[in-house]
Amino acid sequence: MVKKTEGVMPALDNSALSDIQEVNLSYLMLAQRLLRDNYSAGMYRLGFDSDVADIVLGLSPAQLVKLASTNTLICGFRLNDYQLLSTLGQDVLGGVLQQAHSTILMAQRSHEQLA
Amino acid sequence: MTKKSVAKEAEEILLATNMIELGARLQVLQAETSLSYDRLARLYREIRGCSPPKGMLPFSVDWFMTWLPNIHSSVFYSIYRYVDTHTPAKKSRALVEAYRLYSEQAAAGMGTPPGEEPVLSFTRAWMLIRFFDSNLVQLSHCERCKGGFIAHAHDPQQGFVCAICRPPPRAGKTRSRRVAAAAKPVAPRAVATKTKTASVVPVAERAHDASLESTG
Repeated sequence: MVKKTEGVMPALDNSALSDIQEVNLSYLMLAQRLLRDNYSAGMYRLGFDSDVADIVLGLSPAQLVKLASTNTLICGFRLNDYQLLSTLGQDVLGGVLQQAHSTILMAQRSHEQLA
Repeated sequence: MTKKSVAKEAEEILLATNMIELGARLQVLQAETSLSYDRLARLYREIRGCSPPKGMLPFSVDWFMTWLPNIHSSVFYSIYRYVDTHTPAKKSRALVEAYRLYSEQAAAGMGTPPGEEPVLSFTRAWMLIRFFDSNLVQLSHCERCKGGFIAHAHDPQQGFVCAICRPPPRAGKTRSRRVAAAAKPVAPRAVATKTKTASVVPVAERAHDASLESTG
């Protein structure tokens, strides 16, 4: 498997680290805004279940900052499925229907996952 | 049970208002609220500035099976099912939310020019939910992309391939023409509306047309 040598992993330079934290914070703030504007539509857009949505909505700014300051991204890639992604990669009719396709697959997939 | 709650009535008026704004016909409002016909008609005139269209609703199940409508309705239904099962918005509230999300998506990435009514009208979206409730249609899963698409109830699920994975041979024709036209600087809007006459026909007229529309 992959060679693993201890202590050799290069640390991320500062700008990448602060980019990650910035994305985290923007994501959390966007999530709060979407949920506050329209709870149900926000849940759909974010793919949250109602427990998570409630907690995120209740986070204070200080808590948001704390959650955001890590070295990993806290938002996940929602098309994280080989088959799904390769289907979407196919060029059907010049790609006009790609968004329709991803909407259908994503909505139904998170539906199954949450159920 | 109290006979008439003012708060409940206010809620229903708000719901009806939302639905009218999205393009609901009066029959839909009558089914979804307990408000009287007169009040609904008055509300309709107040919001739209014209009398509600008369005539029957589009009742064709087959319309949902034609190519582009099938894709649009499948998008809508996926959203609706998510909203209805997972969020606090249920039934008619879910319908309103899901239709808003659908039309946003239709304008953003499915080729419906902004300002034009999306392929699936609100009334048709409502009909679709009724068709599902009465088991006239089902969600068949495509064996290539695993996505669920609308199909006639009791159609065999085996070997089903969806309208996106295997579009009918004619499907791309008008669309590619439109894309080609949009690439040129000369009035792409005019061409777009010409190829999509179906969606510029007023709702009232469209309602009478229960026949199959062109597959776009």
